[in-house]
Amino acid sequence: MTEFFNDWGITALVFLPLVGALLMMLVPAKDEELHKTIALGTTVITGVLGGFMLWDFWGMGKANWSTLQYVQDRTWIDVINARYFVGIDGISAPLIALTLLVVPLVLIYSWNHIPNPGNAKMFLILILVLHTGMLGSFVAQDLVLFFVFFEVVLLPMYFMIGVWGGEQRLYAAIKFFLFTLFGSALMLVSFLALYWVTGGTTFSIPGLADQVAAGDIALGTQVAIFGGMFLGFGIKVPMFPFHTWLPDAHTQAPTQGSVILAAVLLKLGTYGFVRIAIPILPEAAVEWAPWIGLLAVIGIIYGALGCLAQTDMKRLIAFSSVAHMGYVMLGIATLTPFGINAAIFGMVAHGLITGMLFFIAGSVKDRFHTLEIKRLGGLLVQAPKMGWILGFCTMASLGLPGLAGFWGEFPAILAAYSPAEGISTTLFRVYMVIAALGTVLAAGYLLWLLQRTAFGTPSEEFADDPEIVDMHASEWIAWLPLLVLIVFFGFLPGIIFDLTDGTVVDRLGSLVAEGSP
Amino acid sequence: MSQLAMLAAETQEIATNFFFYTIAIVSVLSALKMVTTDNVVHSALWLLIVLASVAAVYVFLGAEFAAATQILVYIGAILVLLLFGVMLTRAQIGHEDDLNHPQPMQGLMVAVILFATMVYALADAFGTTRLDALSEQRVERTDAVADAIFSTYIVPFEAISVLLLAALIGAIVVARRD
Amino acid sequence: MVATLLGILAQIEQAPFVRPAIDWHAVAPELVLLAGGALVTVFDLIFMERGRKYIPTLTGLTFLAALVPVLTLWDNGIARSLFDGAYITDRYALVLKALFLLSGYVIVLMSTNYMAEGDYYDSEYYQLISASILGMLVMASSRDLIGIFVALELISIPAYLMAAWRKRDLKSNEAGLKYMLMGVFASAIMLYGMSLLYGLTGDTKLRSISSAIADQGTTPIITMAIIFVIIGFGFKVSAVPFHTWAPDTYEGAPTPLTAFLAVASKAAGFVALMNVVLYAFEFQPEIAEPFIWLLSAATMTVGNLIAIRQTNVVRLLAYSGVAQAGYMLAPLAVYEVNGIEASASAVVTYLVIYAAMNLGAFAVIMAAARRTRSGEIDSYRGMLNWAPGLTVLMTIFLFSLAGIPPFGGWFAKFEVFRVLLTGNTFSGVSLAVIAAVNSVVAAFYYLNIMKNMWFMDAPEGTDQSKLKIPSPLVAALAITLIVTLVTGTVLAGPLRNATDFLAF
Repeated sequence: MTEFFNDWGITALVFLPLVGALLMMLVPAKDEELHKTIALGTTVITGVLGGFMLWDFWGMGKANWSTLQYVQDRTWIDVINARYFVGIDGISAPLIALTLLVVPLVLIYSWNHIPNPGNAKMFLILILVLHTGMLGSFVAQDLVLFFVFFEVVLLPMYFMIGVWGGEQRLYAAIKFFLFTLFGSALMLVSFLALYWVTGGTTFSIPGLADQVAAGDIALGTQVAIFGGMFLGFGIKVPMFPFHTWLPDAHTQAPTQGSVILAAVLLKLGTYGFVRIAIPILPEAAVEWAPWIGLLAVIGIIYGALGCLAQTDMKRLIAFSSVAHMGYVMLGIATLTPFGINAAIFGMVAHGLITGMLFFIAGSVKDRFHTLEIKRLGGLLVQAPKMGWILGFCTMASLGLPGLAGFWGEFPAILAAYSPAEGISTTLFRVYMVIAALGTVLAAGYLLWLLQRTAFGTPSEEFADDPEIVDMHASEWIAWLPLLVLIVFFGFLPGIIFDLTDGTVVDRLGSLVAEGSP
Repeated sequence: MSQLAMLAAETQEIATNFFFYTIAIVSVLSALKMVTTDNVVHSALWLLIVLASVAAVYVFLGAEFAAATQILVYIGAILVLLLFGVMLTRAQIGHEDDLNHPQPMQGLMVAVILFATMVYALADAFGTTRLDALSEQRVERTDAVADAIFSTYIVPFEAISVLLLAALIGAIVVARRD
Repeated sequence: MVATLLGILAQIEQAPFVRPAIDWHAVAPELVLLAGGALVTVFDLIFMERGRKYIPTLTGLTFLAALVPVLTLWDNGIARSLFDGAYITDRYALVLKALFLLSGYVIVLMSTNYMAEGDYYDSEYYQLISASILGMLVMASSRDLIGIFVALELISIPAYLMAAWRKRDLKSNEAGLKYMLMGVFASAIMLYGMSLLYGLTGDTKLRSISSAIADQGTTPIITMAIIFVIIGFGFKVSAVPFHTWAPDTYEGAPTPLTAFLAVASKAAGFVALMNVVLYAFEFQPEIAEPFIWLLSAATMTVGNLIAIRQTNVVRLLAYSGVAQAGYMLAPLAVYEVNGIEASASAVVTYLVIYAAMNLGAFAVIMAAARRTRSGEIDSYRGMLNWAPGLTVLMTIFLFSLAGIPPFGGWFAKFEVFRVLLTGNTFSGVSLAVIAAVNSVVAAFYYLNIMKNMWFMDAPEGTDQSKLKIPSPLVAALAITLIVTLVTGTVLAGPLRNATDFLAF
């Protein structure tokens, strides 16, 4: 089994969903049940395979987690030294697990929630292509390969928003597409620049990190290259001034699209920082850290204030994403193992919690046909179970200790107390205070949301609406794993911290060796 | 060299120059006439004089083969074809009001600029070059042309045969009335 | 009198005619195509109406048969030089020959139903296509001004005629006439430049010209010759400002022929341009490079800006093809720092991928036109419902044209950018920036087509039943799709290697 994992594991994992998609293309569109079965089956098989691999990975023990496992390194475009180089380590493992979990749940939810205008075949095929793109991005260890997978993610999402989205879907889809395309173009340019300044011998991430560490590339050049990556990843995260596509995309996307977007796609940006930008260009990262930190805290406060101004539930959750990703970016900006571990935990936690919130928003929309907070109310009366789940998720989202959200936010704030060597401690302590204030605001807007939608009495227009029922079976199946995991990681955060810590220390390399706490 | 021979050479040069300039002036004037006339048949006939004078210039350069080709192909084939075309397709043979371009100044400007550039470039490159009278290099022998066509340029030559066939087929299809 | 003449003739020393040594293997692809074309003509003459329906198949088979010697030559691997270097069959030429033959095959597949259903003279059409493709094969190998000129005319003259093939349609007549007038004008300019080159060097072989003018620098006459020649090819590849014929011709010509012009004919123009610039002007980069830089920048920018405003898909693709020509010109603007091999291989890579994705897009347009009967972008609304497969295919081809991974187009653009940025010269970097901005602009109008196909509802009264696509067109779509997909992913490396063998 291990041999299979070593030779074919990752390739099979990444391309299995694509095989499922090809299979579905051969089936006529009328047979929706069959399409759903194939799609779900493929992702479950992928999930099981991935589960076995990650279990095997877990079994290797702490000492081996920081080394890339199941590596495949094959010739691809050898004239430019781009290779098919994939592998799993402690940083990618939790995110792969998250992806493998969320996509099947989304498909279960889709069983009786295919959004208008129907066409389940195309919708499910797009989700499977998206699955391949996301998994590929998390395992790629070669910049060209990473770029290709990163872009593969873009297309299905664009169509999901544009075809199955809400009223303003055209605008949202184009905005999403152009923002991301612009970011990835800059990212590609900086990848190429990096390739040339290191002598044009490799695109592999560890290889480039070694070359930059060994070479004497001018700091200015490094800073400029980091700037390009910063824009590319920052738009995807999204960080404060580039976030404007996110609320539109989230609001207009179908529920499934919102969930995948929140749970996985946004992580591609932060993952890019942790995997690519910082390990390869640690010195430039130190120069950029104060600015990243600044944008992160602006994002926290701005996102929170934005939430308070929203009248639409989905838009509110979208803005809360901006704030939460701010904590993740703050953790990353400290450039300490502690901060980055917290950031990775934050990514997973945000994926679980915000994914859940979007699920709920979708179900609310299905029942009430609106998400306007003013018109909602009394969810606890009409659909008590769903109301309680909403309450639970808002608690998790505001960072209640004992739930997963806490372990994403709190350590990130704490890490800002002492950032890495070479970064102004005073500045980061100011950031820390602001970020802490942000948690108060977060509690404010989330409780406000809960109070206005779940509590109180149902508004008159929905009082006797027969469509408003409590949980469906498919909702239970799709949501329960997420809810369980939110609690589980709330009590046992160490599982993820253990997994990532060694790798983070290893990848940070010189930043840690220089003697930061 | 005797006095007589020098005189002969000088006379020959004067004669050559005299004929060259005559031909050149005729050719330029006919070209002007050709573009300004408002009768399409006259235009074709002026073109004939232009082409014939170019052939005459070839004779002066000692390129008899090129001169013969010029007459055979341009006058014998293309011009006749042109006249056929005019005769067969257009009813009006004679004075026409709208034959000329309404804005001749634009064309004139382009022509003047192009002419000036070419004169400058050509004078810069070949202004002082003189072809030695009756030297070997200026005699282009017809059998050498034939040899080149059937050895070095055999592929283009064969390609032209296909080209002619294709043009024939295509022309028939496009021109055919059905 | 006669006796005197005979006497004079007898006195002329007869230089003995040396029979040229011909490597028959090297010209085998051309000969197979020639024989096949002749056979098709004879077949048509014998069987007349009864044989009509077999003509496309036979023509297609001829192209595939001509591909066999190309493969054996590739396998053989030796660069063969005929006629003292005037005609060369090396791997560079072979890649291009394979490209031309395959494009020709796909175009025949696309033409089959269009021609059969549209009351045209169809067997003659296939004969002209064969002749034109033969010209391309000759072009790929010619390293001599006369060969290049004749090949170019052999490509163009059948194309002028085919553009006017829809005889009863005024637009098609306009297409043919405009294309011919512009093409002849371009040929005249180019020929003037070529005659200057010959006058300067006394030779027609590109290599000899290159060495003869190598130390003459940039005298006015050389500058003029080079610029005239490049302008001539600029018309053929529809570079701005010599592009004005393209949209009208593309719109009026029969659609398969439009694909032919936009892909095969343009590629052949590029090959000619590349051969002349890289072989003959190797030592004159200070003239050729800035001029091509200007052409390239103007071509991509103007092409894109006009493309945005188009409402007709064929015209839009015409202008986007103009813009794509700008990207393809770009590597030729920096051949000095990179070496001509790198520039040529980037252009060839681009040509191969461009051929696949653009032919694919045209095949989709043709398939869709069977339902919409119009090329307006509006008529593509709601295509997701009545032709989901076509919608996905068109999406793939358009995204590929926009240069988005994992489809072939990204690799083509990647190679262009790589060549532009390698030397770290001002001209290279500035052109790369212009190209990058243009890529984003281009993405906008490609997205617009997709928006109509995916997001908009079909207008009332549209036939919503699933569209049936005839099998030759399906085959054309399949071939182009496969090439578009593999060149961007698994075969990107091998493709790059294949063009890396370019033995200049």
